[in-house]
Amino acid sequence: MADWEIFGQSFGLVVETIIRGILQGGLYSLIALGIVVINKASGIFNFAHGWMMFFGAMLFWQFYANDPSAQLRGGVIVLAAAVGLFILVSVGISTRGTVAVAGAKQNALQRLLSQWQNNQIDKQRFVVFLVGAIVTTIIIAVCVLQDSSEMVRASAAALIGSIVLGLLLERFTIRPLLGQPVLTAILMTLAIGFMLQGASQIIWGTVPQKIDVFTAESTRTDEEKAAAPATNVIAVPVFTFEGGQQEVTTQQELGGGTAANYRIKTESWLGRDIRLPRFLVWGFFIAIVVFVAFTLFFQYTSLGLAMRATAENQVLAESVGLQVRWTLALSWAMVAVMATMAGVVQGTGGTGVDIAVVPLLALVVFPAVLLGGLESITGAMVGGLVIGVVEKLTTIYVDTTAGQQLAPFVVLIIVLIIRPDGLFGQRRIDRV
Amino acid sequence: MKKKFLIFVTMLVLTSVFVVPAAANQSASDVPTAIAQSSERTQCSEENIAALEGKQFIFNVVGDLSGPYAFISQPLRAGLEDAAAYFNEQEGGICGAEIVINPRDTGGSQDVMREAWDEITNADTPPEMMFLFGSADAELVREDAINQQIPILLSAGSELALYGENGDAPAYTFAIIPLYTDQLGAFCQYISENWESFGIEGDPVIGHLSWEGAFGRSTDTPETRAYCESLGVGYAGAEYFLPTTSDVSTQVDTLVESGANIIFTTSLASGPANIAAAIAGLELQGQVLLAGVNWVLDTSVIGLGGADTQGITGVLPYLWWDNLDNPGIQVVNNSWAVNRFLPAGDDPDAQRAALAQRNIAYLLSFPVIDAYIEVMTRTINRVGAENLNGQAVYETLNEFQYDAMNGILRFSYSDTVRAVQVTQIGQIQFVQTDAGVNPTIVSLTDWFATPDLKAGGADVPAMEE
Repeated sequence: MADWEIFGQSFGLVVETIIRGILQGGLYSLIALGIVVINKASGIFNFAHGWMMFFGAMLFWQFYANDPSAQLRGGVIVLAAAVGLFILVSVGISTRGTVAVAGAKQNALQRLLSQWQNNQIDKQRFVVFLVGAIVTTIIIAVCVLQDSSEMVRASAAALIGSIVLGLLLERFTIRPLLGQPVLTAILMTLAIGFMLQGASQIIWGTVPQKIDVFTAESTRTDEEKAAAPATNVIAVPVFTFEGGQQEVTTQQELGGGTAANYRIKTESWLGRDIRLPRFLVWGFFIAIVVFVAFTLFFQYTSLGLAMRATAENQVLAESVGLQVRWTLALSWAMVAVMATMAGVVQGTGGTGVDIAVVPLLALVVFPAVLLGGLESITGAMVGGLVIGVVEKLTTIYVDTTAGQQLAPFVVLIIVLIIRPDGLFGQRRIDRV
Repeated sequence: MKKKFLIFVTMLVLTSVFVVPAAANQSASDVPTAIAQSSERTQCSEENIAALEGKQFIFNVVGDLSGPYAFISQPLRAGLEDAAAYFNEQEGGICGAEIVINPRDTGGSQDVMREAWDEITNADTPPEMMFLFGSADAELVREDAINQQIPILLSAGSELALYGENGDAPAYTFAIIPLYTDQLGAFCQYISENWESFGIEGDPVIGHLSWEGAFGRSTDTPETRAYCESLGVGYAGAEYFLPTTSDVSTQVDTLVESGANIIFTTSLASGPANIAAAIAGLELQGQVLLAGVNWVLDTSVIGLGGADTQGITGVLPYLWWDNLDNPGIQVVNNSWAVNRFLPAGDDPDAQRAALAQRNIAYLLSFPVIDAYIEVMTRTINRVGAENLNGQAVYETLNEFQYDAMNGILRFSYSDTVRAVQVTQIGQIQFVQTDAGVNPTIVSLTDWFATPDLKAGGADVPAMEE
C-alpha cells in the first residue's frame, strides 16, 4: 500500500489528510453545534457566535496565562455566587408554575417567597437545587482561588464567565424581543457581535494570545525535566538612560514550543507515520462528548423538549405553561459555554486567540450548519466533519486557496439541490 | 427602578473585575531624562524659521487603527506620537514649527479610507504629505495622489501602489521598506551564499506558504522564481491559507513532499506563528527553514509562537531594537521605556501591554518622523516656507537620500525608485542570559542592495515566454 497513489498523491498522504480533516471537522462541528442549539431553542441564527468564542477564549487565557489579581478572583467568586443564586431562583421555584399576583409586579425573590408561603414549592427539589448551587459555588470558588493548577482555574473562570455572558446576553438583548419577528432577533445577534468585539478590544486589546497547553514541556517526563529544566521565562532587557545607561530586566512568559504531534505508527504499510496535531485531536473528542450530551439532552429530557417546543412557537409554548424565558436563558448559557470550548481549542493551536481569526471561524462553519440542517444536532456534527474533510482534501488536490474555499460550498450546493433542508434538516410543510 | 439598580450592580461588578486592577497600576515611575541622538539634520534658514514661527505641521496618518490589526497600528500611533514629542522637544519640530500627529481610523474600510482621503486632501490647506500603512489603501488612492500632487509615505511594499500594474509608472507613493519581490530576491541572494551554515540537507528549495490575498501572493512571481533559480535556489510550489486556518500541517507536508526545505511566508503575526507551530508539531525543525518577508521578524510573532519561532530567518531592512550600540536605537528604546514601559509599574497586565508595543511599528515611527522633518526642511529651504506644497515635497522625495535615526532606516529614492533598496538578513534567536532567555532578532549580514525584481526590473533574468 505504501506505493499506492490516489489521483497523483501518495496513499499515505491521502489517509493522513482525511484523518486530519475529520479532526478539523470536529472543531467545526463543535462550533456548528453551538449555532444549531441556539437555533433549536429559539429559532435564531446566531451571528454573534464567533465573538462569543473569542470572548470565552480570552477569559480562559486571562486565568490560564496570568496569575489573577485579588480583585479578579473576588469578581469571579461574586459571579459564581450570582450564577448559583440564579440557578436556585430560576430552577428551584419553577416546579409548579407561578401564581400571578394581581396588580403586583414581582421580582424573582418576591416570587420565591410568595410561592413558599403558598406552599407551591417542591421542597425536596428546592433543597436539592439549594445544596447543588452552594456546592457548585464552593467548588468553583476553590478552583479559582487555588494556585496549583492553571487548567482548573482557567476552566472554572471561563465556565462562570461564559455562563454569565450567555445569561446577560439573553436577558438584555434577546428576551426583550420575545414575540417579535425572528429577523429582529437575528439582527440583534449581529449587534451583539459588534458589542462583544468592542468590549473585548477594550478589555484585552488586539494582541493575539496563545493558550499554551500542548507545549513540548507538557510532554516531557519528570526525569527529563529534572535532567534539563525548561527555561521558557523570557528576560526582556529594558534600557533607560538616567545619568548613563542602565538595564532594567522584566520577565515575560513565552511559550515553550509546540509539542510533537500524536504519531500513529503506520510507516510499514502506509509509507509514512500519521501525525495528528494535539489540539485538533482534543477538539475532536470534546465535540464528540458535546454531541452525545446534546443528543441525549434534546431527546430524553423535559428541558430539551421544552427548548424544542420554544423554538417551534414561543407564544404557544408559554401558553401551555412552559417557562420560555428560563428555557431561552439556559440555552444561551449552554451555547456560551460551547462557544468558549471551541474558542479555547482554537486558541491552543498555532494561531492562538487572535481577534482576526477566532470570530471569523464561525463564518467558515456556516456551510457545515446548512449542510447538516439548521435544526439538527446530528446534522451539525456530520456537516462539520464533511466540511473538514473536503477542505483538507482540496488542500492537497487543488492548487489554489480559492478552490479550497469554494469546495465546501460546492458540496453544500449539491446537497441542498438534492435535499433542500440539509442532510438531517426537518422538512416543513406549511398548510394554507 | 429595580431593573436599573440591577444593571448598575452588574456594571459595578464588571468594572471592579476588569477596570480597577488595570487603573490601580497606572502610577507613573520616575522618568529618566531623554537622551539626544547625534543628528545630521539639514539646518533651516533663519528667514524660514521666522516665517514658520507659531505654525504647526500636521502629520496625517490614515489606516485601520481599530479592528483586527490594531495590535500593529496602535503601537504605530503610539510611536508616532512619542516620536513627534521627542523631535518637538529636541529639535523644535520642523524649523521651529510643532509637529502634530493627526491619526484617522478607517477600521479597515475602503469606503472610510476614501472619505478620509477626500476630507483631508480637500481641506482649505491641503496636506504636503500623507502617511499610510495599508497596501490596499495606498492602491486605492494611488491615482488621486498623482492628480492632487500629494506624496504618500507608505509602510508596505506594494508594487501596484508604487509602480502601477506594469511596474513602469512610478507614482507619488514612496515605501519605507523594500518591495516584497525584492525582499525575496535579497533572501535568495543570501541563501545562495550561506545555505551550508543552516546544516539542512539538499540544495535550497523554496516552497511558498502565505496568506491568501494580494499581500500573501506578492512574493511568488515569475520574476522572483527566475531570479532565485538563477542563484541555485529551487522552487517547489506555493500553498496559500486563510488567516482563519486552524492548522497548516497538511500544507507544510505537501510542500515538503514536493521537495521544499525552505518554507517562505508572506504573512504576519499569527501567520508565521501558525506555520512555526506546524513545523514543530511535525518535528521538522532542523530539516526545514522557516523564512519570510520583514514582518516575520517581529515581537508579535515571537509572543505568539514562543520557542517555535527560534531560527526564523527573514529580511530585516532596518536596525532592530537589539542594536543597542546605535544612538538612534537607544533613543527609541529610551522613549518606549519612559513613555510606555516604566509607567506600567509592576503590574503584569500593563507590562504585557507595553511589551506588545515594542514591535516593528513603534520602532519605525521614529525614523519616519525623522525623515519627515528632513524632507520638509530640505523642501522649505529650497522653495521657501510660503511656497511649501505637495508637489514641492514630491520633488524632494524624488531625490531623497537619507539615513534616518543614525541608520535605522536608509532612504534612497530617485525618479525611478520608490522603495528602500537596502536590507540585512535577520534571524530570531533566543539568547541565554543570567536572567533567563532573551528573544532577540539579530542581523546575520551587513547591509546589501536588494535586487530590482518588479515586473521588467533591472535584475530580472531573461525568462522564457
